[in-house]
Amino acid sequence: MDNTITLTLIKPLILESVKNETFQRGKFDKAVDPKAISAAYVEQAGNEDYHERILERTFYTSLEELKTHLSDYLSSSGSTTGDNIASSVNGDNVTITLVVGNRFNHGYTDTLAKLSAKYIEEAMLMDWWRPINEKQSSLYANFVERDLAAIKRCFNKTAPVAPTYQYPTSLTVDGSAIDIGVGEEHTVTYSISDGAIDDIEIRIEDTSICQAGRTSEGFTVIGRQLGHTYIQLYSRHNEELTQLVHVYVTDQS
Amino acid sequence: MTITIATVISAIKRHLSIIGKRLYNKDGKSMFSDITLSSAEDTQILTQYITASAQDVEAVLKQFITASTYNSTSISITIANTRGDADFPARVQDLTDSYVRLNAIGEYLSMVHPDLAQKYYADAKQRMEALVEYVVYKKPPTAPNYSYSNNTGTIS
Repeated sequence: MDNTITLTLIKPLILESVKNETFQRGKFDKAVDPKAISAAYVEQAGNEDYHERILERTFYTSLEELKTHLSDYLSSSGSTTGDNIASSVNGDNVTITLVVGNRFNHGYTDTLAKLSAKYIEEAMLMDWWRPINEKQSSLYANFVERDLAAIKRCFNKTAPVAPTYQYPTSLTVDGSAIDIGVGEEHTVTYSISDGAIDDIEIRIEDTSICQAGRTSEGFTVIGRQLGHTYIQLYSRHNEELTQLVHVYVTDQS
Repeated sequence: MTITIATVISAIKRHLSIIGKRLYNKDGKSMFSDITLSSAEDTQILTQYITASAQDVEAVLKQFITASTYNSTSISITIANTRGDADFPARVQDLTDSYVRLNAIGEYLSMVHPDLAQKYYADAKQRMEALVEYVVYKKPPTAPNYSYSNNTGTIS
């Protein structure tokens, strides 16, 4: 069965990180060279209109890039209805939804969210520095690769889980005794625990008194000759799960 | 930011008057009459220097200027404040006034006392540098009302 992962990323946090990093770099450059005040101004991202537009554009392109990388790990169940990866921005929240296989390690769900936010930040920084400082941009390109490697590791599959068979854990028969004539039929109905696979069978203590057969409703018991015997309903996979029903074949003429 | 020309002219005249009273030529005569401007010439010539100095400011800070208006009584220049301090408008006004005054004095003195003009040009340059530094300063980004742990993942 597939899992649906929902990642919620906070857009203002991502933008703030980009601004903080560029602010720090500008501050450092001013400290190294006090005359570099105008250069530092250009390096420090935000809040001019055109800076904000650059940040907005690179935010979305980085988000879409991330989605293409995540698509490598989507479930291959091949649902043809609906999308197995989607993203939406609602106010400050960016939501990425992806459908993955059942061997995804749940412990990495939160990790994946934080690494995804970091990926977008560093991809934005890579784009930010590209026209200003190519060397700095290359540095962030390396960071983006490192983030991607960490994201990939989140998708390391857990060990395969041994298949399980859902045996019945309870068996209830409707009635504890039946009274039928020779040649007469009676259907014994029963219920088992919810969701269990029906593996109930029947044993007859004395087949000269009655015989039985499977129907979709339960078991049909037919009287053969006068007498008393009992039938036992039991689970094929759980020997302890049995129920006895007395069968009386009487002369009812 | 608005430069009121009459206010700057008044400040310049006071300044020139103080200089004139304290300087003497090689013959020991006061330079007051050489340095100060007559009322017939002050408005015309100083308005010219003040306007030119304001244009210096506009040229140097061109990328930050969103509007400017020049008329005979005042000059108005609007400088974008994207992430400056709260006192940005007041400090920019003070530094611009100071630059315009010093540079206009320097321009005038370069005609009548070139050696003395150098000191005012140097002061004006310093004010311009301070003004640029103030305008290009950015405060640290504003922290959003979230913490990093708000980036979360859920699985179902």
